[in-house]
Amino acid sequence: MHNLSELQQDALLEIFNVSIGRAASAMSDMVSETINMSVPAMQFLTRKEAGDILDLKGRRRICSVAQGFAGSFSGEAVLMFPEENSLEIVRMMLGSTIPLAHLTELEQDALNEVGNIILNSCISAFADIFHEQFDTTLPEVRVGSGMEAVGVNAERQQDGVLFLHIQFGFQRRHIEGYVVFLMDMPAFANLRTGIDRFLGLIPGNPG
Amino acid sequence: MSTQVLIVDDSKVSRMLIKAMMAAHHPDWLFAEADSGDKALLWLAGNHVDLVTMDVNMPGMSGLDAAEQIKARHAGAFIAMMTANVQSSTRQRAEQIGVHFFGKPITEDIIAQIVKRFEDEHA
Repeated sequence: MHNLSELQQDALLEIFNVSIGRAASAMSDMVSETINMSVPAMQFLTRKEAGDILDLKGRRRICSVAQGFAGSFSGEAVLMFPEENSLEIVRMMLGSTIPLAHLTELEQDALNEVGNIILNSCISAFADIFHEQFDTTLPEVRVGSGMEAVGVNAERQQDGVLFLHIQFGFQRRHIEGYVVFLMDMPAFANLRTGIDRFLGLIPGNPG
Repeated sequence: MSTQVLIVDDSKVSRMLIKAMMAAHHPDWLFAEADSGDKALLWLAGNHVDLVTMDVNMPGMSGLDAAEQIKARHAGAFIAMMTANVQSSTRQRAEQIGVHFFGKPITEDIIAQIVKRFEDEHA
């Protein structure tokens, strides 16, 4: 059964929150702007249901950067925002270091790099807290529906995932996005063991 | 009189960690907990506090806003912001309000730093 107790869920969300906090700090340094973060949330879903949720948030085309991670448990971290904002985000992040004329042709490359910095920052914080070591894949830029953003094809639609998500926004510009973690279910028992190990660190708590 | 601590965090795990690690330094301290800024202010309306640990990213009122109000009403309280939101802007706001800033994750080292600073200020 894919159950987590209230305390295990609380611990997982807190670990996710700390991980995203570090990534938001990296992003904030890159764009010289404050990043607002929502309170994180989690659900057990199929990949298709996760895609549907992301599609419903405005039904816009989404630009995403996804990076897989694998250790004793595995999953995928995805940074996503509306496609129409992707060039602006790249501009904010690269500032005046690259001439505007080159930005469009470099967009894909720049998004990859942005994703690499943000997602690695999240994944490494996640790994540190869990005392895990994750191998990561190279970031992959995808543009399309929410379904495509979370990598749903016909074979993977019914795959169960643990869907962790947090919303972020740039304070001065009206751009909002999401960071989503999709945790694979086959390694769920290992994830739960990791959470229990973390809880076991609390003095007086059996974990 | 025992030192009164108020731990404000929407994560129960975080509250447990902070309390257990602080109690390891000072078993005689008294601990109260609140899972939101609003509840913290409500509790403080009828209680004295010496040390507050405050999360930032919580449902409802931001921990920074709550800290600002506590600072105004309980000038002598030592307030330690403990947050995953480690951006420079959050640090700056904490500085403006006049509270101490500590980044999460919660570790024994961070808790030891908070306890030491509190003791230095109240020596």
